Amino acid sequence: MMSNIKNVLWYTLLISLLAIGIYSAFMQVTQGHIITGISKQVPWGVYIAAFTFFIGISTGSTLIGFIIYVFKRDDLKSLELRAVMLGLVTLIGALLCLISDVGNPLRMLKVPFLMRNTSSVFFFTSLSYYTFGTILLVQLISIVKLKSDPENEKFKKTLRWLSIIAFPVAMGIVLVPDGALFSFVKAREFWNRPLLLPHFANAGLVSAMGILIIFAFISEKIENRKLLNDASKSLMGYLLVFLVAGVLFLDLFDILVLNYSEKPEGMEAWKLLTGRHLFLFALNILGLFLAFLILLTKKGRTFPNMTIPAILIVFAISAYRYNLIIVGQEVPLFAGEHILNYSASFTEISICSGITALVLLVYRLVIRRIENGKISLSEA
Amino acid sequence: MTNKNLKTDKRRDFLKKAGLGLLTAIGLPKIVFASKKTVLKKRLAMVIDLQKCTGCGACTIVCKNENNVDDGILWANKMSQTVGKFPNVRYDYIPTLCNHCEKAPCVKVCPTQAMHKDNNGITMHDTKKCVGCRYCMVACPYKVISFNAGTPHKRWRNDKTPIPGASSAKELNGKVGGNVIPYYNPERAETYAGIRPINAVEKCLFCDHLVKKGEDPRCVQRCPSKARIFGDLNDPNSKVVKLLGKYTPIKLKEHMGTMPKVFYIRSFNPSKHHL
Repeated sequence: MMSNIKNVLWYTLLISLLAIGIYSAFMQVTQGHIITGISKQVPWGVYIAAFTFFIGISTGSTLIGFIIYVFKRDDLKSLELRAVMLGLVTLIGALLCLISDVGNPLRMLKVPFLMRNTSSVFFFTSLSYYTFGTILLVQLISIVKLKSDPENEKFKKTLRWLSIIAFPVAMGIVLVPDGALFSFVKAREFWNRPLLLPHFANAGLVSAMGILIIFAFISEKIENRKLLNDASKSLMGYLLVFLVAGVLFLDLFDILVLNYSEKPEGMEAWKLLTGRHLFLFALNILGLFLAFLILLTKKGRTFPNMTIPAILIVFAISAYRYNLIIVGQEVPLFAGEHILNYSASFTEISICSGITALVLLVYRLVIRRIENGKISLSEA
Repeated sequence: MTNKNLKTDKRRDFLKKAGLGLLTAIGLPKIVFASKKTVLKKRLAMVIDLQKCTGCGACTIVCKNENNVDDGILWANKMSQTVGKFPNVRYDYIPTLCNHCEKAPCVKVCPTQAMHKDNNGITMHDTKKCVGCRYCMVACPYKVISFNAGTPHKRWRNDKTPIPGASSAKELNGKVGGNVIPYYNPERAETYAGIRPINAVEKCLFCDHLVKKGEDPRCVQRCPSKARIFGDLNDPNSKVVKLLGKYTPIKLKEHMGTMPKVFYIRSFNPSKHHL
């Protein structure tokens, strides 16, 4: 009874957020981007920050399939469907954020086939989304097929090989070029740093693992469906420690380089991070540090304790993504110029919330239907 | 056929297919993804004499008029800065516009080649290809590209009367024969959108519609102190080349490697006072 009430409340919340998001999207289409917080100084706002967050999770989720088939960890197979589904819905979420951001989304769909500039990183990223999306879709179809026909060798082989190539494709062709969208921009000193690309990629991996741990916990505690045994939980815990350590190391070196660069742009960025954006900056660094400390303990790597660092990580990485996009643009282009600050408008926040609600709704509905056998692709 | 012959034939077949595959892998992308390369006839540039510039702002106003630029957007802008403490104070006034860089980052990043170079070296924009991604705005180090976030010239499209009996802005516009705006310049529409659409970017185009007729950009023509000089860097007899030979120019953010084609000569206060 209680779980039914929780379900109803959860779905009501998601549908409400989705409805508000759709209404805000309609207002944006009719009135234009003037109702967003973007400006000449900060042309990219919270849509792009949300895009980087979603694309990081989408690509990071491929690590599970890679571990299962390359390191032969069959105990993680219960997480396989969730990882692939997470990858697919967050990829859709990322693309919806992009569509919300551009002025002419229908024209954007012609890139890269009918309209292209091969010198632009956008060309590679747009090709990569189609490739990556196809890989995830075929993986999902294979998993669904194998549920009804577990001995189908063709789909077993397809799933195995796709899971192995999905991770390098996700990292090398999707996530790294997406990071390059920012790091290749010489005009924005805060982005044009060599550590940005590995930092960007690592943040994606750690946020995906964090979300999968949260979902596994929800599955166990609320849906009474145990996905991971103790050995798998321990592996996830160690993986998370390793990934958090990597992100923390890159975060701290980023700060050191910024502080010691003596460049005016570096100083301005540091002023912004420790001034106007202090809350998010602190959430990023302290959140990751706290998560790392908890995960170092043995108890911290067990359920349900592991969900606390997982939640901290998700918030920390969202703060990192926001600061990366906004601070990178708020740094004045000319010395002595007045800093024009960005504030996300209600429209932007509600559209992003609506997209998040849609992602969670589709994820939950499809997973439940596949696991209950209501979606199957068995031959008649 | 012996086994040896069969093996040789199979090897030959494999090598043929591999060679064909390799040629296709190298050659096909070059054919499919070949970008149009512009052959530059001219390298049009502008020199701004800072000792002649009075900071009157006529260039800004005349540019808006010529190019039907919306409120809140400035193709010809300025940077001003006061540095130092009295009596050692210096006021810098630097007119800015699109630098039409030879290595324009906006052209490099544009996903649809809406931003492109024409054969006069002008960084042009095509509103029909623009998707409004604003990557050009992010990549431009000079902040000279603007985005039409709302409907351009919204107040002239307003058909509501402010008070009963009065004319609406739209009616007033119609009475003077304007097109969206009463001061609409139809010449602008010869080579570019006369009024830019919503959700597209825009920027200075060196008045390409005038350049095509052999004229200078309007800001150059109308500058009351003749502080702006326009010409072709490829022409050794042009005024710009002669001025650049005579004075050491300053270019904005030269270290970025964008090779801007707007040069500033003769800073007003040669002795620089710093805080």
